[in-house]
Amino acid sequence: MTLGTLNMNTTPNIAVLQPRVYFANDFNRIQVWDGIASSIADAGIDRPAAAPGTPSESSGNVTEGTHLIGYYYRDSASPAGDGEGYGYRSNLSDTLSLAVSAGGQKLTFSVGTTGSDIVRSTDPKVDTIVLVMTAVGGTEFFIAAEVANSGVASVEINVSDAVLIVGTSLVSVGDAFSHDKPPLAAQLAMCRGYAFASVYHDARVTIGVTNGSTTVTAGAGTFSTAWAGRLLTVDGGSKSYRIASVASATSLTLAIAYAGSTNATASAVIQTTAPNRVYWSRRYYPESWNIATQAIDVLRDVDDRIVAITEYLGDPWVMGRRTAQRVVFSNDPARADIVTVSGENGVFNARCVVKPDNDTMMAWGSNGVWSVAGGRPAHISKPIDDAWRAILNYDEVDRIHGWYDPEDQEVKWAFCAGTSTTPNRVLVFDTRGRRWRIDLYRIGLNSATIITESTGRIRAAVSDATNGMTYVAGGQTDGVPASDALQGRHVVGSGSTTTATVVTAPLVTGGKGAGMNGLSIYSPDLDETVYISSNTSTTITHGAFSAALTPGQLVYIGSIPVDLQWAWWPGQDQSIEKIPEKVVLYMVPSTVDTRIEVRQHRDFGSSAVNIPVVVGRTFNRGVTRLPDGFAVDMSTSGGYVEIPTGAAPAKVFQIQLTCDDPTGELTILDAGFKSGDKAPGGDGE
Amino acid sequence: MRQWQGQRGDVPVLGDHFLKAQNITFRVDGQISRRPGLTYLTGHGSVAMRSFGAKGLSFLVLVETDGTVRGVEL
Repeated sequence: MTLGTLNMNTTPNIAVLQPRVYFANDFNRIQVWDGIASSIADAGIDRPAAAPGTPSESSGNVTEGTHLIGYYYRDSASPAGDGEGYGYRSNLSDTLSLAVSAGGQKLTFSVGTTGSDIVRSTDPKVDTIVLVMTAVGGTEFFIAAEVANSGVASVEINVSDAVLIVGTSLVSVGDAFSHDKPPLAAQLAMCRGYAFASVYHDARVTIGVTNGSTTVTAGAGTFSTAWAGRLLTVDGGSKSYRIASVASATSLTLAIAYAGSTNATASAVIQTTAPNRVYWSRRYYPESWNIATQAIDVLRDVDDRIVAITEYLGDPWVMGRRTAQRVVFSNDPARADIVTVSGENGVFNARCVVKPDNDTMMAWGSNGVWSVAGGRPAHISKPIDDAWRAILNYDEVDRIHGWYDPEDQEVKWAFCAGTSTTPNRVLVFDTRGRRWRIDLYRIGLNSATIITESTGRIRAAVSDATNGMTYVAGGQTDGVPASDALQGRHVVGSGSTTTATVVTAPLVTGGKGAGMNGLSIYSPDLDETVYISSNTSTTITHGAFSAALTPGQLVYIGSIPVDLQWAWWPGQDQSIEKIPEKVVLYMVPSTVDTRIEVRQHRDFGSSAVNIPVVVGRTFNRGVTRLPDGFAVDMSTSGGYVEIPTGAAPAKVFQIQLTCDDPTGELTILDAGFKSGDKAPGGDGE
Repeated sequence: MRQWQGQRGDVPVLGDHFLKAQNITFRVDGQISRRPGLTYLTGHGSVAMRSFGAKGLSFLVLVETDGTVRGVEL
């Protein structure tokens, strides 16, 4: 179901404090959803705009003398909201000082819209209005009456002080903390019942500024109306300007006139004046905050900025670009100590932090991947740091996101490589063998999480916004429906064009999830991947290949390209003993037609060498010749194959195994070079 | 002579014996398999998502690229 819309100035941060989920994006007020409402809503509740109006009076029980009377709004469906005085609520209104005299001791307030004594809240979360009153001459408020936020036209207070003061005191239910609405926040995390939020975010905007004017304009959806008080700096300018007010998403007013040059399309950044500040809510009240007092600055003394906040072993960890600090507290964050974490432990963004289990946290930052398991964090990605640094697109590090796959027991981070803006490379850490690798997905992965299915199965879910699909980890190919008998490996028929490929076997249809929509289609002949927009039972419509496919060629839908390159192996040039004569593979034979390709590189060459073989030469069962290597049909091989290398001298050798074929199992038990013959043969024999 | 012994669990993929390893998973110690693929869950993509349980139900909340927020019951 559609729940609403968030501004996308920055990627939203999502946090859960049962039984509600919260969204923070530093533009909209923090949004909340309870799983029931038809839409998201502002978290927190605005207080009544004014004190109660003067009630009508009649004979009753209120003690004679001067009372203070106020009211607040309450969400009785919120956690603990069934207890009087509890549940999420607003701050108290201004108060009415009322002198009660004999004969006028029952107070009747009208309830309605503006102009009534008690004004109803327009917040859909509010279902109750609570009236509070002091005893005569007192300052402590007690609950005097409650009334529904709708359908009731009046409410009475008719209680003596003797009865009032044995009722519920606001002091007794923690009213002193305050019930401010949550601050505008870019980072949000829950820890020991507290919600922690921080603001830091550079909002990049394109604006119109005029010399001598305080008015700044922009296109639709540019300004948050909650950005008053922030600083606006035009690129190349020599001064920051405080924002006095924001009239709308397209217009704001500066505190002083703009002194720079008039520019209708100026690039600028809008920043908070408190980039290191962390706020926290009342405990178990993630919608009640005290912005003025319940806050602390973090990372300020180590010259860093807040990029992420997360809970780890009961402490909030605040992470910057290269450092991290813990907010260590016993019961009250207001008495917290700030402890700098040893080492360089920064993160690219908040989504780079992954917790595979309760006492292990891993995160990827510019210094590499670090892990902490109860003690000092350790840098663990040394074996692969050179590899990811060589390809990472640093302009797109905000798109990096990590997740844990509980079935593979692997921690993964998707990122963009080279100049690509598609996060289809995945840095993988195998927690069992503590191995690293980099995967290549044919689709871009824009977000991920762990889900618990209705059956109780816990799996990773990944999302591809480009093609508008979300998947769970598992299955044989990337997104191909299980009902496709060929598992995405199809033979091209006649009549194909560059944008429509005809296949010989029936395709499954039915749109996303039931058909092939949104999946990749790969042509090994063209070595090109495009995306499918729709399909019938015989024809796939897709992005353009460079050439139309011809009958008999193969296409692989949703295939997972496997690529395994060995490290360069020093062959010691002319030394016969060190010249590899064969590559041997030990594998589990596949029950269906699955093919891997084996290629050889020499002397750091990027192209595979063409290995000469004797005419009429026969190979192991399942092995066939390719122009630049060999193919192994795993369904017909016996599980052990030898592949000739040519046995030519070289300084270094390398073997590359690739598999684009999505069908069948692919299990390799072992592999290696084999030599030992003293006299090299021309074809490896 | 071998570059890699697949049955060993302590061999790092990169740095020592492999220059590149992509879309493979070490299923049993060093045994290599194809990375498990993906199975369709819902026809909505996202740039941020989170699982969420409330009122006895399980949801996936998604924020799409245009800012649309969706709740998908699991």
